[in-house]
Formats: sequence, structure tokens, C-alpha cells
Amino acid sequence: MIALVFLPVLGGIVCLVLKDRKSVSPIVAIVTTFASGSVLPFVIFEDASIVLGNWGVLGIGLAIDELTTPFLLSTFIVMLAVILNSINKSYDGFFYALILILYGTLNSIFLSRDLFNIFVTVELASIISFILISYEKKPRQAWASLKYLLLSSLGLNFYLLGIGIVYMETGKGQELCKVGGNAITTGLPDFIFRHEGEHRLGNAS
Amino acid sequence: MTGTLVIYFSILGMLVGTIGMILSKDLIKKILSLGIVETSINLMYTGISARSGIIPPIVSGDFSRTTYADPIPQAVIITGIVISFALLCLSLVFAIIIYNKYHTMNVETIEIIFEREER
Repeated sequence: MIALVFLPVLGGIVCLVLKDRKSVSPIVAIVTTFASGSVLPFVIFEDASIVLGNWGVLGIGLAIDELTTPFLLSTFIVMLAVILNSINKSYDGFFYALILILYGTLNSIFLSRDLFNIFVTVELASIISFILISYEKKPRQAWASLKYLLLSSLGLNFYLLGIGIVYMETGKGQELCKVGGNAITTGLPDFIFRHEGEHRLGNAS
Repeated sequence: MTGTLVIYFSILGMLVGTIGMILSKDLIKKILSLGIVETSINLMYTGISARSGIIPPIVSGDFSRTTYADPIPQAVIITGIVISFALLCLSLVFAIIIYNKYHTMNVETIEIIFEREER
């Protein structure tokens, strides 16, 4: 499961290092996309969750459930189409590095179990897309990218306010230890559904 | 008590920053207002962690006190600070690109120039 995030970012770093050789980068991009796509049949057919690091519920959790699978498949198909389309164009290694890191980041958004990790990965994908919009460094592209940057970072700050309110309401107390962690270290579908069920059970009894 | 007061002040700061982003016409002032919003969010997380007490959560052998601050929001918001710094750098780069071409920071003037270029 970690290969879905790790392989594209590694390929992006390789593309960034070999930026001067123009013929290497598309090959690295195609190979990396197919490699992380070939991981998909091994992981999407069963629900699984791992935690990176020896931190218990405080570590970075990745999980696959039925909500994750269509997003992973569609990300793979769209990224493969983008890279196959951009072979004939004259893009340099920087473009392929950004695209590959964006692919790893999108996989990481859909895999993460944690509200705050979702914020961090969405913000990282936004930064990469700002750089991709202003790729040719024209002032018109910079202006469009700046407008998108101001609006989206304001909106993501309100998302952070929402995470704070969720943590304030549910983050403390022992009833969440029964659920399996506190609010910030529990995932979006996982947390909401299981916490709602807990509430209903508590009200019924 | 202290935490709740800090949270109300931070939400007030967020509203002030949002109104500044909407109403100001200057590009640098917009970016500064975005900085006010992000700093208010950091202040709000400090308030959340101060709700259970304001003693720093460094336990050194003395376990008698129980009113420690909550360490999880403080550990979490450091990532938010780094991300807001990266966004500030990127937006200033875009502002420099625009200023070098058109020699203005006024938003309406830039829009008028782009409309004139399209014709």
C-alpha cells in the first residue's frame, strides 16, 4: 500500500535529478506509472489499514475501503492518459517530476485515514497545481494561478477551522478511546460512521 | 476559560482577515490579510490545547499536577505553519511576475489591462 505513494514520488525525484536529459524523463514517467498501477490489483480487493511508525493511533494511518477503490482506479487511468498524451509534446523533466509527485499526492489523499493528513495532502496537491498552471511563466498564467491560490487557501483555512471544531467536540474523554483514537487521528469515513453509531447505541441504551 | 476566550478572539481575527481579503484592492494587502487568517487559525489551535490547562506538557518526574496543555493540536499545527509559509512564498513569486510586466499591484487595473489585451 505504501508503494502507491512512494513509487511516484521516487520517480518524480529521479526525473528532477535527470532534468537535463530530455529523453529519459518520459520513460521514467511511464515506467513509474505502470509500476504503481501494477500494485493496484494486489491491494484493492481487501480492506486493510497500516500505521507508519511505532506511534499507535498517533502515527500516519493509511487504509483502503470501498470508498477508496474507485478513486484510486480513476486516478491511475487519468494520470496514464495525461502522461501518454504529453510524450509527443516538448515538455522537460520538471513537468514530469511535478506530474509524478502530483500522482503520489493524490493517492495519498485517498488513502489517508486522518482529517489533518487530508488537509496537508490537499494543500500539497494545490501547490503542485499552482506551479503547473504557471508552467510557462507568462503573466497571464501567473495572475490566474494567484487568484486560484488566494481563494483556495482561504477555503482550506476554513476547513482547518472545521477540523478544530471537530477536535474540540470529540477530542477528549474516554468515550473516544473506545472508538479507537481521538478525532484528529481518525479518518473521515471511519470516524464519522463509527462515532455516529456509538452515539446512537449510547442513546438507545 | 482561557482557551475559550482565545478561541473567540481567533474567530474574530479570521473574520477581520476575510473581510480584508474581500474588500482590499491591493495585491500585497490581500496576501497580508491571508496571513492574518492563517495566524488566527494557529491561535485557535493554541486555544484548543489550552482548554485542559496551561502548564507546558513536559513531564519530568512530577506527576502530581493534572492540568497540562493538550500536546496534540500543538504538534499538528506546525505542519500548518510550514504550509502557510510555502503559500506565502509562492504568492509573492506570482506577484513579482505580475509587477515586473505591468508595474501595478492594483487588482482592477490588472483586470482592465488583461481585458484590453484580449481585444
